[in-house]
Amino acid sequence: MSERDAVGADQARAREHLANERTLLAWVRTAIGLMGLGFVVARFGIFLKQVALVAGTDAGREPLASAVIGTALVAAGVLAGALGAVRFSRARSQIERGRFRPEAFAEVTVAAVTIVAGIALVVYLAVSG
Amino acid sequence: VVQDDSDRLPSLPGRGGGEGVRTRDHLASSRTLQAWLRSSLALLAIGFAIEKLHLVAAGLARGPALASLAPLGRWVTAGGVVVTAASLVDFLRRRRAIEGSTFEPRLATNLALVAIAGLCGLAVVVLVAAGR
Repeated sequence: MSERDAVGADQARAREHLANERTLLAWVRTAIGLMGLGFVVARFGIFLKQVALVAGTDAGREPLASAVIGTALVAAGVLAGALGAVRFSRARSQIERGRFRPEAFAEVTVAAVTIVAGIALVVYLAVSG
Repeated sequence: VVQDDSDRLPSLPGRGGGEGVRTRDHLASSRTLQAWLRSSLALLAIGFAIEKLHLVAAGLARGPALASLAPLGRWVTAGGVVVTAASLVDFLRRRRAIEGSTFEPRLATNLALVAIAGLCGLAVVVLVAAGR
């Protein structure tokens, strides 16, 4: 390998690691998004109570389904963060070995959980609305 | 920031070049899926807000106009679920395409997903206009 090729290969390696790091950050944002949405869905009742308190009306009870779906979304966020971190570490060593494997476990799992929670949310909104 | 992931390196010996481009293609593909995923999370959140915000407005005695449009929310949320499912299918297909070096940009799929998001945005506009 000539010196020019060696420099090129090392630059390519650096870009792979940087791409891997951007992917980890994407996982972090996905996790934050899931947890944020889950928190709002689970704790929307507090907001209603606050308004009811100000307006002097009855807020009613917070539905259980809301808490369950919200908690599931927060759990999906935690899962996304954990799977993203594991994937980052595995991809890192795969890049170092020069044998990257396009694993899809984290993506498929998090997307599937989001789909299930989303369907539950649609059903809940249709039934409670 | 400047360097685009679609920019192909000339093939270099060892693990540079082709293998590195393949790695970065797969990682970019994962980030693309996640960008769609976060977009659909926003749709889920907006749908939930449309369905439930009239309860807050009811407490403030401005409920009726918002309440009549509240059922729009479940459709916006359903739009979020469709976008998630479609982007997962797209991700798996793209994964095979990168492995086989047969990647083609899918304009129709992308535009369809954006159209769903656009319709949901339109629902919000209608709601805001009606709720004034």
